[in-house]
Amino acid sequence: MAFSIQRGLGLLFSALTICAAGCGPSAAPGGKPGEMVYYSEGGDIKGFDPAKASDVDTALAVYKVYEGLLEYDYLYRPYRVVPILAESLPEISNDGLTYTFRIKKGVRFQDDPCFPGGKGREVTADDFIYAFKRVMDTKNYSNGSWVFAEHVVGVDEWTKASEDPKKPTDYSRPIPGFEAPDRYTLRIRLLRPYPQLLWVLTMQYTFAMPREAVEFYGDDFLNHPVGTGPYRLKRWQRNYRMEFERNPTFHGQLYPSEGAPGDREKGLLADAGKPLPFIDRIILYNVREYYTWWQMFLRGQIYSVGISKDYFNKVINPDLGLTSDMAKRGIVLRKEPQMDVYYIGFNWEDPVIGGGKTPDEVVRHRKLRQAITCSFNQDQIKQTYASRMIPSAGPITPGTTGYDPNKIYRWRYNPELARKLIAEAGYPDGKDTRTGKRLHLTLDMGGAGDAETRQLGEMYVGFARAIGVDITLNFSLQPEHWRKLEHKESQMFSAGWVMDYPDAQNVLQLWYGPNEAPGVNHCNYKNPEFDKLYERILTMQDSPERTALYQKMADMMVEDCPAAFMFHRLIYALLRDWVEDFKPHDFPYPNVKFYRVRPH
Amino acid sequence: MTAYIIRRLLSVIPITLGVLLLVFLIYRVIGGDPAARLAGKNATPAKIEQIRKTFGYDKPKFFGFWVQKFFRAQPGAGLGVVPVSGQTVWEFCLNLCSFRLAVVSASGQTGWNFKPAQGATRLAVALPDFDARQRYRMEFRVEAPQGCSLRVLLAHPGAKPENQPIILEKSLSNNARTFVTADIAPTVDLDAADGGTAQVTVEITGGEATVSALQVWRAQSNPFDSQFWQIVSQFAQLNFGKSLQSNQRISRMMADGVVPSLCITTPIFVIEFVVAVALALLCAYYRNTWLDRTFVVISIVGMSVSGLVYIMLGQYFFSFELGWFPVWGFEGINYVLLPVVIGVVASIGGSLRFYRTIMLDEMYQDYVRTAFAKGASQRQVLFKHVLKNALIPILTNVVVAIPFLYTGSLMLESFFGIPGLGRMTVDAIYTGDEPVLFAMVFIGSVVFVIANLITDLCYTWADPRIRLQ
Amino acid sequence: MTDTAANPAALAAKPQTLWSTAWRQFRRNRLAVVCLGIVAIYVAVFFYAESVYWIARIRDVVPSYKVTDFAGRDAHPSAAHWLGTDFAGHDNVAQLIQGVRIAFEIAILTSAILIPLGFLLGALAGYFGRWVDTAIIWLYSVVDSVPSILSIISISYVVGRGMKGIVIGMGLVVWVGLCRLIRGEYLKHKQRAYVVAARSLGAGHLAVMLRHIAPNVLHIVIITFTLTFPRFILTEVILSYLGVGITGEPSWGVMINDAKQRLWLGVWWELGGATAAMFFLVLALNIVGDALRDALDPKLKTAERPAA
Repeated sequence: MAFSIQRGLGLLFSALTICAAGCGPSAAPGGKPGEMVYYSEGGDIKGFDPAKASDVDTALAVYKVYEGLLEYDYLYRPYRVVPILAESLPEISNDGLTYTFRIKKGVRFQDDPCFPGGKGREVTADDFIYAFKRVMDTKNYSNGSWVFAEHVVGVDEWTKASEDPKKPTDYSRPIPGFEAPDRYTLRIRLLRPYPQLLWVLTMQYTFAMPREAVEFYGDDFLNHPVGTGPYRLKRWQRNYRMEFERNPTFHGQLYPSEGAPGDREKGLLADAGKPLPFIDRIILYNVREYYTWWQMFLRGQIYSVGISKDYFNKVINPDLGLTSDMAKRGIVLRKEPQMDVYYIGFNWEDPVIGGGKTPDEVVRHRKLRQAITCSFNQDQIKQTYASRMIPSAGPITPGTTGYDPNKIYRWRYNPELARKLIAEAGYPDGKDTRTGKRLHLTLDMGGAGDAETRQLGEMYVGFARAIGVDITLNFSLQPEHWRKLEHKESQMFSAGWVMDYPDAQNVLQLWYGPNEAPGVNHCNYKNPEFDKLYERILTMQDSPERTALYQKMADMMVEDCPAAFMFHRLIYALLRDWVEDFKPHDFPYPNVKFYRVRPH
Repeated sequence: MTAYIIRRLLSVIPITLGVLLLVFLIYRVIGGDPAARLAGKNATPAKIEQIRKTFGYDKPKFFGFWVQKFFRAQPGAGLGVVPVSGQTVWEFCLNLCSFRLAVVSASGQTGWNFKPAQGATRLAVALPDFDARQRYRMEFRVEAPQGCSLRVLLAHPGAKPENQPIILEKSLSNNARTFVTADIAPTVDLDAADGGTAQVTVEITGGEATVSALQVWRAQSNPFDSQFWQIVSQFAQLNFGKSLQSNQRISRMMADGVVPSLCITTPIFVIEFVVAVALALLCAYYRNTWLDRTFVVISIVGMSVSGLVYIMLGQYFFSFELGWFPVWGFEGINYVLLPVVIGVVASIGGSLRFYRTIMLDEMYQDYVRTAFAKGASQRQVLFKHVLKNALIPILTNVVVAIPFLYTGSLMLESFFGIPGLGRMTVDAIYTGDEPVLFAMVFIGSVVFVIANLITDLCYTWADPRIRLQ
Repeated sequence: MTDTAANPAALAAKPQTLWSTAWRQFRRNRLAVVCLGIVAIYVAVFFYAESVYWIARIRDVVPSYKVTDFAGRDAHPSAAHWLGTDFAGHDNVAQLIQGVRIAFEIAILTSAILIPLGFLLGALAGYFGRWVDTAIIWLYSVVDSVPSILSIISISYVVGRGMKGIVIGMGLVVWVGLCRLIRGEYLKHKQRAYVVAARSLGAGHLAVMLRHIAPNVLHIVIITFTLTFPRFILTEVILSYLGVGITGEPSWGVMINDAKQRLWLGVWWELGGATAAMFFLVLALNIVGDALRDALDPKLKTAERPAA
């Protein structure tokens, strides 16, 4: 034991002296003169396996190294996809069932010891098929299998075959729906029309992956990303710092020359047509405490920061602009409405607030849910959270077709209506008419330990108490929270949904009956009429008719009230003014390659 | 002497095993299995089964003849995986040894209602990866009106549906909840495909019934093939598994975290030790004067402020208001200074008081009185006799603090962004990363046990009285 | 203070003189007497806070310290709110007062677990010795080996967050110190003449353990309670920071944890208030505890290295 401590001490001092010699106290560490470096907050990541990159931080890291066939247009709105590793957008057969992609020639994976001679190999259609199979392989526990499951010909059979625990998954077994007629052609054949296919092909689960790397690194693959993207991982001190540098063999991409109206005036098109990426080196710190993040931002140690509610008044003036103090420091404000929705779900199977068994119960329980929803004061939350949210009127999120910013929520805060409804539900003043006892409900909140969640929960308790209902809060860690939802153990729960792609179908699936827990329908809502409509929109291409159906479904559900819709987030972010070409984006994962850092 | 050392060395084994048992009890037995979490948000039952198998979560906890078997509801039945929710204490105790096989959901809410009263109602579950040569057992609870009868049928893979062997036939006599156990005996003669999917059907005729808490088990021949022994053997090979949060090997994460942790804890430890012992000597020298009392009060005052407050105020004033130190990070020596100073200030009160007590204890020993009586000066007594004799308890205290060096300081590291083991542990607490916590707790304990061992051996070497016992 | 030993009169008088001499000595320590007064004030505040809580609960109304006032949230200190208000307009002073209640509740409930546990195990080990002793030493060595903050977190992590988790977690971990002390005392006492006499007069093991020896070691329980109370308070702060603290009620740990964000905006009174409230109680308890120990049992080694 003594030995190992001594060795530790030796290491300790050498580590310190190297550092002390290398970096002065004020200079941002790691930068060379003339280099364009970008500093940011990076969060905890789950490793560089695209098939398992299910959270935002991991996705942000993965997108720097890996690429797929398509990506979102950086500037153009509404969102559209543009080819990246594909030569162009695919040819789609008339029945909408076959998509044919031409893959760019001459794209090479980054140089890596896993390839013969250490030189990166050219990307072919097989690399995509291999990546798709990895996502569908049960043994990989990928979170992304939904992108193809039940959509692509032969995929489900392949997945089933991969379940056999005794044999390693056979990757030579073909999936009929994924074909590579030649090196540069990829054909995807669908079982039924899948209007969202192009959206999902921008996601990390579909990124090209070299089989050599997976086999070479084995278990350690998640620490050795080998992609085609603009950057490669240089150094990764887990739990603390990640450093990316320019990928010298990047296939090249140009800054877009077409933008949304107003982009030219903002100077976003000044770099049009120039080769990407601009930034040479990216350094991400894993800062957990918000105010630390804030301090580092003010000192220029990182280049962007969100604004917490406590800091809002210091930074934003009453007109929701930046205070002059901040503007003087060279700080720019960006408002980003988020494509997400936060709601309080009611468990449809709960005996008190659920769907109800008898016709009488169905009506009374519905009124109870409506009453509780009516008691939640969205405006108050908005005020407390310093306007960092948009009160929500239903499941459809801003930025998707079918969203109407002027719509007023059917169960908008209305104490009189809430009291009336709760009386009709059989609980006048919150007291059960049969027993005379006060109604007690439990609300499960995720995110224990985080002051903001706790305070939000306490606000809900206050609102419900105003109509006489007692709510007990249960705080649990996110995984624990999910477990409860998957096992239908919650009575009420707080949840949010961040859109995977800009199509309201993505959020409406949360209330599709067959998706009940352990699926994503954590409310366990069942409404045959809703389900029928959902099945219809699944195969419909974008059209006014589909949008109308989206709205109809949303209204139908709001009336039934399996969830109390609370808000969509509106993120106020601060940026140092030396970061140029920055445009807020709902799917910002690959966007750092478009940014430019002015010398400062 | 040798015998003592050997005995002392051997005593490490039961304590280490005990620690492992304790940690295992907390995380695995009461805390449940993390398979569902590993599988992620859109987990399918098949995926969960896979994981449970790979990690051995289907095995009995300590000892048992039955392994939990996963099953799937047949399509069309409208069923999901049987959720195993909260257990009652009694059921928990039973489950502990795995003698009793079922884990019954306490709420009783999980179950299925069968509607039609005429004809047979069927509940079909699929048993993937079914081996006809093995013994299986199925348990469930039935709530049915009087006069209902129940049959459990088995369809082997490959066999025709009409020759489904009947495993169990039973008439349900009363209205109360009945517990049903159906054993599936091995059938060697059947040329059932190994690894195929079998189907077990529960048929209830005569009324509306509810089946709940369904569990399927597979027999295993070695009753010690259990989760606990698996962990013991894994840990003995220093294999701590992988983090749920980052998928990284825990042993590697620990190796990465040791150096930053030591960068913080070693200076704190050394400075605090030197300063506290020096001050304690000073207190002993001037004992019962205003100086001594002032130090005592200061040390108690220092102990009475939360460590968290020291950190927050220190970071706020020295990094933010005055800008003397960087706020966060681990890039150079100046990043370490402030955490070290705060660490020393926060812990010196307790140490000073402790060392002073030790010194004063020695001051009142007979040999000190004798020394004074012989005319030795205050200083001589203090440095020659008291310090020398107080060294043993002081050293004990020092060695016992070694685990702290290793585990790092939870608060300091997470506030100042030091990528050490303390921060790793705090992250694991926040994210519920059980394997990391499990490993950290275990390693921390083992280091403590070893440190204790070293102290005891030092004692033996330093104090001949112990050798004689 | 009963004693049925051979010479009841002589021995029965002894404990009384112990307590009264102890009190006389305690009184001589003026600082300790002042601190005892501070503790008494806190106890009074505790009863007041408890009554506020229970009256609201019995009347089935929202207690005053929980009434939200969003118009007046995040207020600076004023005559109406001496320490300002928090995110939902709760008065910080009222929250501090409730914090006293939570601190005492935690201390009392935890002690209700740890004192019987530590006492009983210590007594059994010390009195019976042999394999009972070996087993109990093994048990407390195991519990003691695990870094205490980690095992408290682990336990509260599985039994559930909030008061229940903290109390059970601390109760099941902190008993070791008491158990050691009690074991040592029982080892000493079981050879004393009065115990031997009681045994030879036919008293059972249980009677000797509880009726004869226990009163003579009771002061250790009191000292331990006084000296571990501060530890509970400080641990609660750390647990709150780690997200396993109290929920739904205002505690000092939660207040400090909430104040940490706003400290950077110059809002020092939240942190200052909670820290001061905590500081005076912890300080007073530490000094009273020390004085009690000096008065009752100066040889007792209760000083432990504070956990990192």
